[in-house]
Amino acid sequence: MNDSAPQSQRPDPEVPASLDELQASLQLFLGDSSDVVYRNIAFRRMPGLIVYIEGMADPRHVIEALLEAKPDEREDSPERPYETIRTGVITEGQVNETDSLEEVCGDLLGGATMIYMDGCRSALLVSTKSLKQRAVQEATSQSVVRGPREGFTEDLVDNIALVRRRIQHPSLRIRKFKIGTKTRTLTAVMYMEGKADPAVLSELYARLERIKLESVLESSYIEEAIQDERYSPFPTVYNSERPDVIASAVLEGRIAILVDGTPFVLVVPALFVQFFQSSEDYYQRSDFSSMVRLLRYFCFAISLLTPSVYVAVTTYHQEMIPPPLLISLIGQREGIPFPAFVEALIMEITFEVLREAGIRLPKSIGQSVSIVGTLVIGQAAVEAGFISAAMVIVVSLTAIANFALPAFNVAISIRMLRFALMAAAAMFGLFGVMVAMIMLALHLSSLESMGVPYMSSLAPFKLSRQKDTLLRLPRFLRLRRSGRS
Amino acid sequence: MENRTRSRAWILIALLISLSALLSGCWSKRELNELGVVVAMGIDLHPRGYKVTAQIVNFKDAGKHNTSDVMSVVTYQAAGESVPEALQRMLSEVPRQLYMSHLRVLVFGEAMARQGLTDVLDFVARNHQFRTDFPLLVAHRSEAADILRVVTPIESIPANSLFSSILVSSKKWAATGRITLQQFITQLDRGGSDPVLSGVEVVGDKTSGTTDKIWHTLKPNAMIHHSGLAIFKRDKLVGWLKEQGSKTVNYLLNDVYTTNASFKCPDDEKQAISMQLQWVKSRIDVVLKGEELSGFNVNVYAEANLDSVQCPMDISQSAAISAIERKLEERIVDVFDQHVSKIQKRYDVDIFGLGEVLHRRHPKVWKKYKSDWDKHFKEVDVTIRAQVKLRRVGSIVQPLKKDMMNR
Repeated sequence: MNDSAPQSQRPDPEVPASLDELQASLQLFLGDSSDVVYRNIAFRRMPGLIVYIEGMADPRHVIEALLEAKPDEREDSPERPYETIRTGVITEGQVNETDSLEEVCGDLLGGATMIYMDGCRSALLVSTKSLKQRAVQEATSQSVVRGPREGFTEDLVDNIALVRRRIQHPSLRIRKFKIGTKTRTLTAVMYMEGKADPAVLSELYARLERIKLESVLESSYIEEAIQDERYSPFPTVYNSERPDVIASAVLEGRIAILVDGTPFVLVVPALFVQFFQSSEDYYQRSDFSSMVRLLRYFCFAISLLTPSVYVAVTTYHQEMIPPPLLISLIGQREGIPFPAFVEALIMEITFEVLREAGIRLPKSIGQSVSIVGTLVIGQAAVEAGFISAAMVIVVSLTAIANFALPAFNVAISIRMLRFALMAAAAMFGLFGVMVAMIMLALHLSSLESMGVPYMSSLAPFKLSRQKDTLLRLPRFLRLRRSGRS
Repeated sequence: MENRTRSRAWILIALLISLSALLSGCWSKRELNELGVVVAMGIDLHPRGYKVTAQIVNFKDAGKHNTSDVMSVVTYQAAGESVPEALQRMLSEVPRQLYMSHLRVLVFGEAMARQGLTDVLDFVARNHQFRTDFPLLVAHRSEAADILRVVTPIESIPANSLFSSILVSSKKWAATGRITLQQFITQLDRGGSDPVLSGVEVVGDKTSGTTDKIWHTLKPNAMIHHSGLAIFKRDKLVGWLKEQGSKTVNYLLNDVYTTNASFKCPDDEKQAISMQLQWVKSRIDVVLKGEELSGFNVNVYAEANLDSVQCPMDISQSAAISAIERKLEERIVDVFDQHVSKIQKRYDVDIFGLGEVLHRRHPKVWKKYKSDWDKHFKEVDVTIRAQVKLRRVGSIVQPLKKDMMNR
């Protein structure tokens, strides 16, 4: 550390031997930030300096302990004050001694309190980190009817503990990294020794070390840096804010990545079928869960295909529509000025706008937006003859099916692909839809997540792994397999 | 550097290819509201060739129930040397392109059917817009145009009314045919059988049926009525069969789902027993004498339910049940004999498909008769046997009349 060439305008990275010098160099290093507190104290008549950052650190007990320490009759050696402080004065928190100014600054920014006694060539760092924390609350993005309610918070330590509480086993391993040259965000990799694939693990470490980011403010920064395929609408990293989901993923041998400052925890490798699983599948009866899971795949198809198939069939393949339905559809389209594709596009875009507006607005106004949206777009547009009623049904069906998918990021990719499919349908009819679907299947089969085929257990197909793919078979059926092998 | 130019070239090529998709894109696109959906088409003779009548859905409120004063269909008419030419000419009146895929029925005028259908069917079978599963009908004693110009009650689209009444009556009554384009063409193509088509006629005042007054009356002036089967020799209409004759044909063609049969009471000629036939199966066997054809055996098997009994007999006895069964068997054999020999004598057309049976069972023997099958059909011996099983007598056992007399 010390032998790295000193950069311009940087103080010498050694703790200087005098109090004033130290304060001056710290002030130079940290700037004149007003939240850095320098406080002179006297410990057993020795002049000293305490430095901490307001809000990040809670140095009260450190200061109290130092000031209240009574002079010891037997030993009052100013030669080794740190030894005394470390062993006999500070009551809680980890205490480090260092002579590197860089480390001092790093720890200060991380919430430590520095104690310096005049004349020493090093400083003591007491970990006094105390941030205002959000309490553990219900996970809002993946709520369940039955199952644990708690969700992760923004604090890494709490989050690790939430998982650890569920897996009280010695082979749960956690390794921490600091990522982001500016934010220096604490990131933890969590896995089960012996269950996680070592190849995937070392691949993940390699990718994490390759990250050259200035800042990591959310786990999506990491996700973007470690994903396999950059230009794919489909996510190859799973995320969840539910500790039970992460615990079950880790128990299955997957690897979790927890990032300080966000409740969303990443999981790799992520397979296509996992995005259709909800933690509740395992808390409800297996027959019901299997049915619901099939329903989700059905919703996936509906949400992806309905508008494009509608456009294709009504503009190219009218012979496929049963006559009474065709007559009803033509009756509705009578007098509508736009082609079916434009009509679908208008409705889909309107819906996306409404949805975006609804998310951003405060809750109370958000509701009125949806009312205006449904009334104005749904009814008035049909009555005015801009849009056919069938198109409103198609778009709302698509939207509702989209909401039925448990993973938000897959739902987004479907929303985007829908437009491409609609364009293909408008140009080539069902033929175009078919070609687009084939391209989609090829793309999905070519994806990998941490070297694992994205569609695996469906393609490449493995019969023995179908027990928890499309269906969720009861546990006794699945346990028998793991018992044998 | 070179890498970048190469990838740029690839992107350019990909863009050009995807742009070329736009050239052929939207090729056969037609919006729903550009279509004139033809639900029924009628073809008649005309001095210039053919006169085509098309019934086109008027979409003003076809989606809803017909409450306003707008008719839900309009008929257009045009003549030409061929059907496609007439249809082209029709476009000078119709504001939309004609869309044939949803044709429910194709009706031929009687005069037209007598002249032969192949020339028209060639167009219908060749054009990819036409499906092959709609029924063909022949207008009895009228022009096809008359049939298409009758407003029908209940169903606001007359073509739908025609179509569904064919479905229902062929399923429940068995005296009409539901011969589709596909079946008709197949029968024309192969030797050893001649086709039949279902007939329709307008009963009542032809001209007053064209307005929506029909919806404001309890007893419409004009109605479309199914009128038996039209017998074809090859593609030419040669005669008509009435109700019993049509049933006989359908029995032999195995086209009967359910029908009704009735016969006189054993001891009272004025009263009748009526049965519902449900599971009707006929089997035609070839009788050979060496390498020569000597005749056909037709075995009809039917399961029947008692519908109504107007004579005072004791149904609780099994003897009575078997008496009814025998009586019905006799009746079937009687009717069949009579109509089969009538068809054999009057028209030398094998609408029963006996030649086809011979062809399938004994292809070698068939070769000898193939060239002049019509002549042989006229003389061939057809023996009818029937077997009837009475399955259900209904919710009551004894006839009400018997109960009343015993009081």
